[in-house]
Amino acid sequence: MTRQVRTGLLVVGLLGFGALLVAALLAAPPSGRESHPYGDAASQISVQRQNTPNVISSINFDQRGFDTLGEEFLLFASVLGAIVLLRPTPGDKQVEVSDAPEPLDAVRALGVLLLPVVVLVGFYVVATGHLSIGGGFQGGVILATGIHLLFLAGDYKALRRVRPLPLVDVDDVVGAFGYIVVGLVGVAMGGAFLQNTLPLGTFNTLFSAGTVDLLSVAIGIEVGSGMILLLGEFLEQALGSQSSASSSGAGT
Amino acid sequence: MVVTVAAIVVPLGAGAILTGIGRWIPRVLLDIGALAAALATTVLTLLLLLEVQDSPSSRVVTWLGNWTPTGPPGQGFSVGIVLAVDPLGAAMALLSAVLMTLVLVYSWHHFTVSGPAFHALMLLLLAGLVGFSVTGDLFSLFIFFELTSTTAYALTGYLTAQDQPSQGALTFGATTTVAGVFILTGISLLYARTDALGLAPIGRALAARPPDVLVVAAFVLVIGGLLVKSAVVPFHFWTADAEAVAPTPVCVMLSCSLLALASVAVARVYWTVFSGSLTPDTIRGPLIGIGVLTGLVGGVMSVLQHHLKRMLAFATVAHGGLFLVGVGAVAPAGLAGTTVDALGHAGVEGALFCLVGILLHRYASISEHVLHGKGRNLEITGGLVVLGGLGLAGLPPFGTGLGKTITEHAAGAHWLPVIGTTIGALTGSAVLRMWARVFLGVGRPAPEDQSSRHSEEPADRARETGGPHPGERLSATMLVPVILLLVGALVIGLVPALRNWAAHAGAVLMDRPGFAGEVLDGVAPAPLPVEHVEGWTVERVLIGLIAPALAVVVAVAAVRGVGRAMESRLAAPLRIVRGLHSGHVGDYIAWQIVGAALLGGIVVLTAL
Amino acid sequence: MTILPYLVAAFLLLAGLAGAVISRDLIRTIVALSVAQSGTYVLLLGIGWRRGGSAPVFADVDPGTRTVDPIVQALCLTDVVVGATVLSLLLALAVKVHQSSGSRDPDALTELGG
Repeated sequence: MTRQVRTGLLVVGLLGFGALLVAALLAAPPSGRESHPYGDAASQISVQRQNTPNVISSINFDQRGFDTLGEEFLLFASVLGAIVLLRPTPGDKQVEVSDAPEPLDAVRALGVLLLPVVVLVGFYVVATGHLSIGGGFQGGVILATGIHLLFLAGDYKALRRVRPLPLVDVDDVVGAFGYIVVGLVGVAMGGAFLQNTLPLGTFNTLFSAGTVDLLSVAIGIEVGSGMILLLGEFLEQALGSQSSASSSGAGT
Repeated sequence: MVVTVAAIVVPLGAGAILTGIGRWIPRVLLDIGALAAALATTVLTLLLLLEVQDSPSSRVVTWLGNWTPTGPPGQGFSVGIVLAVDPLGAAMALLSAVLMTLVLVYSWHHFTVSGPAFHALMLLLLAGLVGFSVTGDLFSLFIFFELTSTTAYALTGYLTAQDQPSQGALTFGATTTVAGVFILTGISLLYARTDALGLAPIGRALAARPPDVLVVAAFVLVIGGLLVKSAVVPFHFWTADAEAVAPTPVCVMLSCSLLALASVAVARVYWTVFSGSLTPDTIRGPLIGIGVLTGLVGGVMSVLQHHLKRMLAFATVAHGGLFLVGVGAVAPAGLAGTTVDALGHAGVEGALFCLVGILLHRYASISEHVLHGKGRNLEITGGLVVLGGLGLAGLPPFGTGLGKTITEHAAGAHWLPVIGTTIGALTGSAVLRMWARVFLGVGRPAPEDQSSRHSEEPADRARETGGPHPGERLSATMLVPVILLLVGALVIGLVPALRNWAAHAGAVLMDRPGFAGEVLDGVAPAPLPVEHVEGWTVERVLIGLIAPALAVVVAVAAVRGVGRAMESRLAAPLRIVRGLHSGHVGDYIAWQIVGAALLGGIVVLTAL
Repeated sequence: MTILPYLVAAFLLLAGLAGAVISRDLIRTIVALSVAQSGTYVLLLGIGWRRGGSAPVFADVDPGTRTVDPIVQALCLTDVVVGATVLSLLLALAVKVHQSSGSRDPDALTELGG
């Protein structure tokens, strides 16, 4: 189709689709309403029965934990897919490993100073996901991007030393599989898959809420490694492929 | 209970393990490991089907994490997620597992892989397909939809050394991402109205009041998103582009498993969620209409193709249209027709894709033009192609033919058999014509066109397989799945118990109050009356023979070059239809938006 | 005022879809899809909002305080992370397309048509 026909089709489609959508939204209960029965039930169960102050973590890792298993493997599959797609194929020109342009000294200093702080925050967010805001997903992303402060600070070669991709690869699998293992703990203790059968401890302490924290850590490992692998593959692709002796990722 | 969860977790876990250790084990162990996992999943889904059959209500309900619902009957509530397996769901899960097992046998040894990613992604795809079939929660359905989609994008683009796969995979990815956006928006609207994410509670809440524009919009968004996967006009454009470039095993999974599952999911979501407010007669017309249109577009496009995989992809689209007609017949017999047709089609189309893959393996081409006469020595392969082509046309007693007649009768319109016959004749004729040209070498070679020019595989290293070994006569691991698939398609059409089972399964799926009662209140409904569906009567056999006969006639005419005059008169409209399939991702997304708007407009008019 | 979040969500959704259709660069197409996805997150979060509610985390506040709906927050949370990785997969495909055909313009990439 020519560009004009396509744009015309788009306009017609958007008018109809937009009208339907807006009409539906106008018919929906307005934002800010008081009644949220499912949410309130989840909050009550999280706090009173499951001893988990962070209701969102309780939902993600306890009440609706199976969906999180699916999401985790979705992430795993995307990372695996990206690795496979970006793997160097015979015929790609071998580029010398280069660095991005030199950053300012201020950026470099900030990067070096922030790196340990961010990584520590990342670990904290993962570990206390059941207590205050946070959890495996958020913490994993913080960890992964925190490590890349090394790249931002201008030292790509150091980054490559710190995150050997084959090791991160294994970590990714450990995280993914670890979630299943923790789920099976529930079965082992006589309950159902992903049932929270570990001791629930005292409200608001570190070792409480049973399996929620364990699952959060598993997710943190998986998301963190997955993100590192993903960013790593794109960086390798852009800045230079390694020789095949130390090739990266599961796809090679 | 355990079996349901295991059927999903086993392929997931196996995929993870293979990814972890895959780099250090030899190829044969990778093949064995993946095959073992697929076999295990097949056994598990078979056990699941048996468990469902044994259950008096024909359902197996598992509340994950033991979050069983509480509350008085009629108001059961749970914060957790439920897996609710009915006969159709179990059958679809079993179909996926069987196909995956056969396809892994087909890829044994020959298919070039680097690392464990292919096998791992296939297993994750299987897990997604099983989850998609057995879940009773709408958001979980969305997640498994995304899981199957994502693994499918990666697998479609797998042959990275070639130029085209990433394009096909990207259009596939972009259009299905839009579908995912539609579905999530629909789920949000439903959550706003009903404060629930499970199929049963949403259905219960919607049935309590008459439908309004929000319900219609949610219907269009969720069902529209699923219809992208079932490759229905105008959401079907990704199919041929993706299957033209995907590795053969992936084409089989896309065409034969994903499509069927999506059609069943459309039925399931409609019946459990929307049937209480959007009454069946409001969606009957739109669904049947879209199905017919899809069948015709697919049939015409498949005849126009000279790229073998695109030809088969459009044949899939055409048959997918018939599946939707069965769903739109809003009766157990309609769903029976869809199920029988889908199972038969999986066998026939799966076999045909594998056969084309064998041609690719031996001659590095899937162009009808280039392959002209090359297949003369492959008698067995050729014979199986003929069987496949006739099966595609619905030759009795293939399951495809049986499903077609059951669907046509269930939908009730007198002109439907004409459409069904046309679709069968068109798609069958394309395959038979290809057979005559490639395996007999008769007639003039097919014209070379843009798409077939790009169906050459480049140098050895980039090929899907490494090519045949010297002296390799028959590739057994490639042929055995083909034979099994065709035999399966025949058996499905022959066994009477199967079509009655399919009708019963349809009735169970359609029973919204029973579903909600069992899932939420733990009250199993009384077993539904046994359904009886007519099979191969003499009249149906005779009508069923028309399409294959026509297919042969059209194929002969095409090979002989007869009918050029008619072709030139149709040239202009054909060129327009063909031109719409432009390969441009922006075009495809525009059509999705227009399609959703049109569907919305039609349903608003019929329902409100 | 109370439908403003919904209208913003609808705008993001429609703008993203429009951008994906008319884009001349595959990267922009994918980013437009990401905008459309953000629209769905805004919609979900708008649906879950409770006027005057606080975050659904009870580490520092009394159990029993009014909070916003935690369900939609949980859904969005996992979706955002996973959505980002799926789009990365699409970006990887776009990189491959650019590598093999030298172009990122959908108008020039019609080899698979017909």
